[in-house]
Amino acid sequence: MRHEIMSSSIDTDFSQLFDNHSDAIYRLCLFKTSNSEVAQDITQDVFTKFYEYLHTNELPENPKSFLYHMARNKIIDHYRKHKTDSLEQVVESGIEFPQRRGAPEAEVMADYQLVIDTINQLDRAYREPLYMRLVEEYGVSEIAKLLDLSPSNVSVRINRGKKQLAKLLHI
Amino acid sequence: MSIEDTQFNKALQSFKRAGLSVSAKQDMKESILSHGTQQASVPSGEASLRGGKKLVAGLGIAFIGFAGVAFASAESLPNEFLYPIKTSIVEPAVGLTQLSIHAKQEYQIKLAQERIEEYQLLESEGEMSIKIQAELTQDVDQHLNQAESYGTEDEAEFAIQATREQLAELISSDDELPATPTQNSEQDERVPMFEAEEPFTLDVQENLEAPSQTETLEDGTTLDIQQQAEVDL
Repeated sequence: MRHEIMSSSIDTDFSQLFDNHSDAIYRLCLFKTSNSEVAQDITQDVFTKFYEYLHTNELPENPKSFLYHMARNKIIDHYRKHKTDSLEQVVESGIEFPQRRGAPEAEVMADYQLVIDTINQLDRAYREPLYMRLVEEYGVSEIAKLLDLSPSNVSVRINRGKKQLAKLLHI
Repeated sequence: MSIEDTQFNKALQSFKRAGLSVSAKQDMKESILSHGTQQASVPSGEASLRGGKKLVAGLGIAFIGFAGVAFASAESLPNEFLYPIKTSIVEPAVGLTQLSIHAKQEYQIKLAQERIEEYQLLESEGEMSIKIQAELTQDVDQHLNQAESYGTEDEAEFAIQATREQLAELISSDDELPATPTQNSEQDERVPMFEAEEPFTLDVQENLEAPSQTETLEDGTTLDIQQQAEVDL
């Protein structure tokens, strides 16, 4: 009985956190992998692991930060396990993949790719802070916590990243 | 590639709306919850046992007991009593089952990554101390050195390098740690789920927080941030 009550509480917590953060985690994975299906798989891995974690541990103090760390580790894990073929290589190979349920349309994906490619032209140190600022609209202190950096460092990185971006966009 | 700011801003707005479709989200959530239910369910039932079967059952129970401890230790952290079982018994035992050089190397990188996750977790829970930091750092180094000894192909090199960078970032972000772990006090700043802010507009003149101290960036540049902020303004 007690087990059932605990399990129900875990499910409620998990459900709420999933609803609140799954899109942001998916976007981060999409930004890092440029592939909506891989992003979807990594998102599922992250939340599966998180759900298992909740069964043996207390809810983390900052679940959002915890999920971001898990996602970043899973992304590194993904690069470690799979040799990433570029989209061009896949197309040239003639392999066709059926479009997964819920996968974005080609035109929308082109928009995503433009953002990803543009931000990836910036210096490495500025990319993630600027992504979190521009796309997720997080504040400096929140980005600092998510990236384990000091707020001042984040502030400078965003500022410099924006300057590089403005040059790229000829503003 | 020449990009116009209007084109970028349009794409940016589109990216901000990117997310899992309602159906994909629902499927994913249901799949995870049902997976968890299966994992949480414990087989029950009583069986009548006789003679030699009891010995086999006893050994089986002992094995299950050990497997249970090993399983329970899988999620343990450096400040928990099952942790030495994980790092001294379970992980080396699993390591022996990795047959190819490639598998051994992957396993060592995976262990280094796990140490990093433990580091982040302890840090987020306010349980990190100098002693644990030193132990985890040493463990990560050992696993990565071991991984390197199996060769440095592109993929492995990337993973090893990325893990090292991650560890370096973690360590550099730590201010003074206590000699022994301490819990976060109630006054600790908690990050809100969502921070209410003005929506972003691409304005390079935006006045960001202007700290008044010198900061050393990753590329070694020392920067007077106050001065930088004034220049930006």
